[in-house]
Amino acid sequence: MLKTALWPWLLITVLGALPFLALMAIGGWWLWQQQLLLLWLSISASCGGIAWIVAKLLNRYQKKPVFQRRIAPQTPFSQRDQAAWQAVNALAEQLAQDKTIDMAQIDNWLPIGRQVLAVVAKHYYPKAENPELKIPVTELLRIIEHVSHDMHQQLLSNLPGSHVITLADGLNLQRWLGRLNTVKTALRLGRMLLNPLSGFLNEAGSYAHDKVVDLTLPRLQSWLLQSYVEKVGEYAILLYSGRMATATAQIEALTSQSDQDYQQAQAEQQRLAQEPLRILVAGQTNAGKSTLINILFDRPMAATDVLSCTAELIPYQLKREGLLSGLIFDTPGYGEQSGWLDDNQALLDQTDLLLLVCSANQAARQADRRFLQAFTQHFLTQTHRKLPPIITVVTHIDALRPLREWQPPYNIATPTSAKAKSIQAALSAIQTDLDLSAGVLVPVSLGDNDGMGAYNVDALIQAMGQQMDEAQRSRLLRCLTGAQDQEKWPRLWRQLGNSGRWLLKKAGDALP
Amino acid sequence: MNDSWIQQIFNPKVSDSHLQAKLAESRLSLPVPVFWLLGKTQSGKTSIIQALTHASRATVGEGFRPCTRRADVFDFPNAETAFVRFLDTKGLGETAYDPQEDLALYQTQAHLLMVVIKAMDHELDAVQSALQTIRAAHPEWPLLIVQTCLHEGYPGKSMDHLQTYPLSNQQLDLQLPPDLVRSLRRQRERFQSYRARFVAVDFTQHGDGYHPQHYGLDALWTEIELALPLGLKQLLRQNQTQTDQLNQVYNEHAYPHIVAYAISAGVLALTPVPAVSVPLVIAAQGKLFHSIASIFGLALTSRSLYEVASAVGIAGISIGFGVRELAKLIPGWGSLIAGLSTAAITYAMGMTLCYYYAKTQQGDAFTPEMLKAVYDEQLQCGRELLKERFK
Repeated sequence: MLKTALWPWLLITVLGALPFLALMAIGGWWLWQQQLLLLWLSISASCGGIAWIVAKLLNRYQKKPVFQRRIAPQTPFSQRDQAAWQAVNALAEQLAQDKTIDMAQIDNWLPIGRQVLAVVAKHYYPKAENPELKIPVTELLRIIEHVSHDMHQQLLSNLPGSHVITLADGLNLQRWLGRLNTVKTALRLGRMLLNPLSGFLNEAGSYAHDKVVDLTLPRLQSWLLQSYVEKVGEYAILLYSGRMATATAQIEALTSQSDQDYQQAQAEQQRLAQEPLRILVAGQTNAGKSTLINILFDRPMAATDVLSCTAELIPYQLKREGLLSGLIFDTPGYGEQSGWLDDNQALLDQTDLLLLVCSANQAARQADRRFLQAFTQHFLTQTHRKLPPIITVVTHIDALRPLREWQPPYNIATPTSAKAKSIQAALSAIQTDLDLSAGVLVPVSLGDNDGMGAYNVDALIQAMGQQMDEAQRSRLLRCLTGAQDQEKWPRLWRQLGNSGRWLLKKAGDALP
Repeated sequence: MNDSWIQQIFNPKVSDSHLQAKLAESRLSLPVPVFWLLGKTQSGKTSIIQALTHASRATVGEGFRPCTRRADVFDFPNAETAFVRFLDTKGLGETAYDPQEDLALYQTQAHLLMVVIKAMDHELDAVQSALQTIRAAHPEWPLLIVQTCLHEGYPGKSMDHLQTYPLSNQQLDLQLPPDLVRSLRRQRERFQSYRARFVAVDFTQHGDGYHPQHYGLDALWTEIELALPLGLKQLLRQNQTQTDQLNQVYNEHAYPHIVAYAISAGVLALTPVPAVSVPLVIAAQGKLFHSIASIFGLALTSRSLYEVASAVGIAGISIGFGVRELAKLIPGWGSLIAGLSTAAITYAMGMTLCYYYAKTQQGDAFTPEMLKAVYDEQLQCGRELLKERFK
């Protein structure tokens, strides 16, 4: 029975749904008037029936899970391992037959895991009384860690939306569905009483529908169970056959010299990790350097104005969890104080990434070219240094012709609108003017755009990530606001590709 | 006399090259005003020329010819008969620019130096250093700073130009967006020490969606007239009374030619020796009539010329010549009077011929009286227009 506290909510829901319910009633009334009601009911019933039959057939003939191929063990198995693997598979089959196991209950996972472990252990130590206990606790924990990690990956890559649905969501949904069922029963009874014929047809339809859902849910559950058993089995085999080398054993096995080197390497790595990433933002006056910094941080950090207001080099900290991980340097426009480049050779020298900010509607680019030459020259003269990656950020694309239009997104790779064509022309002009043989151009709009906000900054952040070394990349992405969610990145990258937003890149280093 | 004038129109007594040489010679006494536009690429220089001359963007673009290594020149309406000249410095802010060469070339001519900067641009070192050099050599040249692309300082794309132009009298209206006002002020502060005058405009292209398309053109003209009182505004602005009766062809092409040849004829008539200039003036007039005919897509026939000339009255042309040539005997003013009246007559003849062709083309009926009325009106008009030039 429903709790009293839920009534208001149910009422609100019904109120919200009233117009649509009314539509159904009106539709029904119209169908009845047109003498089509029976026809409609028969069609809906037969549709449900066909779906049910097809699902049933599919279920019978397509024994493989719909979601994912079976797990293929990564390490090649010996014959003995293969036998153990078969035992694991047999257990998985057997468990799959058992309809009583509810994978939604987290308590059920542990006994199943232990069962698998026992099977494998028995295979390797047939004579021992409690073979599964012959393993140190730390190793068991490692198995749990590995299996958890793999299951996480499997779920992410196979279940759409799984990264946003929480366990609580799932439970709530189930509870609500249960409640709805109660309400539905009452409705169904009423309908039967009022109009036996249509009630019957409707009943037939919803029966078919329920069956389809019932067929899908167990499928998911059995896939989950099977993956889990196989994963535990695989790691257990690796463990009991002695192939999963333990970390402690490794260290003990090291010679004193290696140990020393190991310590040194670790110290070195730590030192590298502590050295912050250094990003230099340079460009002409009013190109939008400070605005870019504010947008990267997602909050006002640097003072921005129509008049130049960055009179000196100002570093800003990229921080996450209280640890310094990066420095972004805002610089004066080249024209205002051309001397800063000469006075700050040391800073130039330590740049990990250069963001060259160019305004799309500023056609005089001598200052940019001069700066870029000085910058490149500085690194070319030192043979042991590599030129840091350069990203050219093309700002103010909203100010290009047609002047009063701004309706992103624009497909710049294959432009169709006049605006997209202007943007492409500006990008090409900048690429030619600055002689950018390498590096990436990212068109952005950083203005407010009548409340629409900045455009294509996510592509810029992505491009920054792409330009960094692996280690630096993760640090950068970790530091930038809005980049916390690591899972977001691969998806965002695909979205960028699909929506036609654009990075211009010279052929040779293709984008993934 | 009338017949012989028409004869000479078709068979000029002087050769083309002789006429060119004489024109070039006479220009020295009445130099063509030169507008020196100094500004970075895409700061709006072409738009200014377009707005001032009513020429199309393509005409301006194609009309530029290289002059020095770093400067292009645009003669309006064309190189032969130009009565106004624009000098554009190429690639300022793209490569280092030394104005010495251009300075040497334009030393002696009447000048207005126009520095063109975008309203929101503060990367002005290149412009400023070029200006410094020019200013040091010619502190007497009037300097006008034109701040362009006002819309780039508008807070959003939905904002339109203020109905009343808010920047007149060197004042900045506070109704403008505050950021734009501050930016304009900052630029003005920067150029204050050059004793410059300032004007802010926004000359957009057709289809950009800003109205009026040439925002602040009147203010720009006011500043130009203040700096260079040559009556150029009147010369370049179309004669409104005639625009209704004549078509677009006239607007675009014929009018600048009439003004240009009228001035050329006037300049040729300045020669102080009586009768020497007559064949040259007639040759210049002939070139004008031929070019008007070709603008209307017709051949110049002696019949059409005869119709116009006889309607206007033989006295208007032939006796006029005699009187004017005699006037040259008066020392001092004589030549100028001859110059102005020759210019005015050429102007009026050109306008009347235009009217004649337009009416013929449209198939409208007209009488000799109507032609005469147009001629008389335009003669008056021409005197007013050109008197600043022959002062």
